[in-house]
Amino acid sequence: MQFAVLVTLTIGAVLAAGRWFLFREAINGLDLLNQAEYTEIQDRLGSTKSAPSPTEVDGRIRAHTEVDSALYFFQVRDSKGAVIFRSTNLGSSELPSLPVGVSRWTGELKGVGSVRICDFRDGMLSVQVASPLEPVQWLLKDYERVSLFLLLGVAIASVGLGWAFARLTLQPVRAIHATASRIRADNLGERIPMPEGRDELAALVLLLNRMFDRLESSFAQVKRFTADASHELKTPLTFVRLNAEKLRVKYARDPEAIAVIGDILEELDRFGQIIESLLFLAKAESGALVVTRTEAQAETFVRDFAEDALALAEDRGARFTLVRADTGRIWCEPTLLRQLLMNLATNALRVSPPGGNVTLESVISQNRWRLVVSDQGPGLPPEQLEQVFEPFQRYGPTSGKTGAEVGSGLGLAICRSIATLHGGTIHAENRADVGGFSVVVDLPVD
Amino acid sequence: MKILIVEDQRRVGGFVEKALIEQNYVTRLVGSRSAAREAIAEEPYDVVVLDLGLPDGDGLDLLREWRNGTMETPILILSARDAVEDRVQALNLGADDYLPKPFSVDELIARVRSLLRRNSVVRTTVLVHGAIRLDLVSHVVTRGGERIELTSREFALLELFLHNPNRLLTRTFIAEKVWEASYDLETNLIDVYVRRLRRKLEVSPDHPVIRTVRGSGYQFA
Repeated sequence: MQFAVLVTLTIGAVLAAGRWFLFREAINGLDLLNQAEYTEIQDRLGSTKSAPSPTEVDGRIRAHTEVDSALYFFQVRDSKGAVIFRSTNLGSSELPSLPVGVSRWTGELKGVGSVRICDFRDGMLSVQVASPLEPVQWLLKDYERVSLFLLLGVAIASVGLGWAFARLTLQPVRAIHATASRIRADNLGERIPMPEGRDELAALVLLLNRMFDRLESSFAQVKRFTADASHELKTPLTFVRLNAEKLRVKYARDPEAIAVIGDILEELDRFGQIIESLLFLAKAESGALVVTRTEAQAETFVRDFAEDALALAEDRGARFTLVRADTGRIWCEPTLLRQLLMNLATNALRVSPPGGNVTLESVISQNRWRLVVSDQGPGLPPEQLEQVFEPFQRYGPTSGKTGAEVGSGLGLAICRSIATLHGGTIHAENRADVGGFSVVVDLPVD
Repeated sequence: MKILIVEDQRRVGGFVEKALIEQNYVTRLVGSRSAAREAIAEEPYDVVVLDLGLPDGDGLDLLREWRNGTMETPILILSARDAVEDRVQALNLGADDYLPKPFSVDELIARVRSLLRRNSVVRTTVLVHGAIRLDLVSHVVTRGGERIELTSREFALLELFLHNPNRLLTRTFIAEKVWEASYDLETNLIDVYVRRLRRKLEVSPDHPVIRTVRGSGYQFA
């Protein structure tokens, strides 16, 4: 657009300058014609050294001025400035007397129109020859009309050209944008194609590609580390487990030994689970985890979950209430989202007093899905509301409870990772009305 | 029935081998990709137990190679890697089952059996164990002719137990089959459902239908 304005203004200025030159040339032309006409008049006037009388002047040039009356106006003044001859076509008008030192003048003459007057001194007389400007004005009008059309054409053409030019020159930039926004954790190997030439654009592409290289290698590092750590931690765990199971078969008749082995196996389970959780967090927080979201119906998903939550609540002698307004489709990784809700419900039930009520609120509105799990437990000091999402932070009473009852302390950290992986947020707040606290998960629907 | 075990950790491999031999299977244990390739070229196997972390490369590459070829032998993957992501990948590449480490010997045997059975399935619509009868078509469960009302989850759990009577089922296995989710120790969901099932099925606590094996899982008897 700026380009179009610039081009139009430039062409406009050139055309205006052209008009000025044209006008000047046309005036010069009139002056030359006046001059030539004067020469003829001069011939007819003859000698003017002895100031001819008005009658003499009339007799000498009247006939000639009548012949050229379509093209020229004539007027003769004597040495005192008094008009002694006026051509018939002037009618009642009079050519003005020019100031001293000015011999050419353009102006409006009443009853005649615009004229160009040239003043010639000849002995005792002053002869004024004037040409009408009308033909020049016609010429200029034509010129202006043509210029206007030209300018309009240029404006339209330059808008089109500018658009085409911008598209053409910005093509590589668009390609860069498209590729860069396509590259994510799951296709980090892709690179922006190098444009031809060695301009700023090529330098930018090179810079971006190098950045993606670094990103890819750091992602690969995290993946390799978690794979290695996983292997190194779980292989000995497998071996210990298999040995413990072997002992259980061997000491099947010794209840004391069976109890000890049961303890060992249970702790091994917990240990394995903690490793799994930590590896999940490491991957999720480094951005190396790829989540494949699928389409699901919120209603079905929440109903399935609620069935299990209700069973858990009943088992603990608590109540579970579902408040919902969530008809619609959602995009999520169902296993992870289920785990998120399960962690929240388990935590809520863990801190609930006997007979307490745990609520799940599921609401879809304006493309957001809001899931709120609330309990009637003791709540949290305000300064801890943010901390509970850090790994190994526990809340609620922990004394006198077994490991499984307290939890690993990773549950809420995993919830936060899952919410983030879905492009959503999670936060905790104390319930103002009834005590206890709520965890609010806010997810985009698509 | 011949089983090929591909596992580079000798001690873990030894355990797996011994457990399978105890179940009267013929086994061969190899510790690398190249040795596994040779073994497969030499003779046919009924099941392959494949560990993913091998000294001379990734087990997944071996899996891809076999499945791109003509090999149709059922393959059970053993892996110490992240359960969810790698599981999906392995199954997509053509693995028949996936067992994450650390695993229990009983679970390994159960999964190998189910792979062997797959080729000789007798489709049955009614599962019976003692006085308990489960109809897969009408979704009706009776004990001694008396109808028992079960929720859908309880029904799925009982069906799993009836398919595997007298066998120890780990929580991991149960979670995977009934909830299609990986087992999470943070919740005691499976224990809760087993308790509910017991309440509905058992006549008296002296005659348990489902036995708890501490630290491992449950056994239906």
